[in-house]
Amino acid sequence: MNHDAMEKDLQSAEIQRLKEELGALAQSREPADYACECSWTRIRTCLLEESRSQDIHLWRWAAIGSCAALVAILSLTKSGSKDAPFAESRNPQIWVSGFHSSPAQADVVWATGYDYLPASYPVK
Amino acid sequence: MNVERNNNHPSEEQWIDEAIRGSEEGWRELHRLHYKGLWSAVNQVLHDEALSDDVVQEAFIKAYRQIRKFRRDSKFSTWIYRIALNQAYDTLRKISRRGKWLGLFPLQTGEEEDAPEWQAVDENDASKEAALGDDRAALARALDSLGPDHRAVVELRLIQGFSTEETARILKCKKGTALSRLYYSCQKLKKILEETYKER
Repeated sequence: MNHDAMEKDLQSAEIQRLKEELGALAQSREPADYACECSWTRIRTCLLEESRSQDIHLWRWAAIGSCAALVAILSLTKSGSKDAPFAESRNPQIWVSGFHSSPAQADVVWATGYDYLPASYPVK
Repeated sequence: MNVERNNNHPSEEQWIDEAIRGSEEGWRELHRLHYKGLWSAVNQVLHDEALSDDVVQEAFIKAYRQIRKFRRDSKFSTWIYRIALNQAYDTLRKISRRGKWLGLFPLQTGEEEDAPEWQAVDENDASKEAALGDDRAALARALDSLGPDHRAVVELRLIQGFSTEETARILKCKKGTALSRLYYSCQKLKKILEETYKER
């Protein structure tokens, strides 16, 4: 039997009668109104809890997001100040000789403890 | 509540909008509209009234979590029935797995201990049948003799009045599968009922 015939068969008087009887049976078996009320009371409690936990969830994600943004900003600022106009010096002589330059003459003031020189400085 | 009222009765669509906005009243109305139908459909699969209550409750909580994902390309009823029946089939699978495990370790109980429980179940069924009347009791027995998949199709298509396409969508099967299950179920129901009437 093909599907069209099956679908057509559902409209037959016999099936319509069966449908009515099943409907009446279902009505006699369905939960009472008070069961519906009880169910709503339980569901309402769960939905309120769910809504509260969703709020907490949102706050938690907002806090995590803010922390991540802060860490990202800090790391960018730090790496930015390190990189910008400097190039790493691999010339041991400069470091060993303890190069000093007076602020008036040099492009950049040497800061003790940093083994970096300005990229523009002509290293010999 | 700011639902626009048409003839003092907001439509289901308006309650859905309210529910999406998180309104308690919206959810209450949707629950009132669908609880009994959902419960009956779930109970056809599970055959356990208390468990059906739990499954319907779970379905509503799931719907609450996912309401923003509800695209209006299908009816709300199709969507929520699909959630509930998914949940029902998951529960059925869990029960069957648990049953298999428990079957490996049968409990050692005396006959005296078992007797009252079985008796209680039989008495309960008998009183239910008496309350239903002979014809309806025969139909109930015939319906109960079908498997959960077939009962679910009968419930959705013949009792709740979903179309065959919607029934298939809710049960996540092809339209042809839903139709063949329905056809088989109807034939079986008719046969059992005819036999019952002949016996009288």
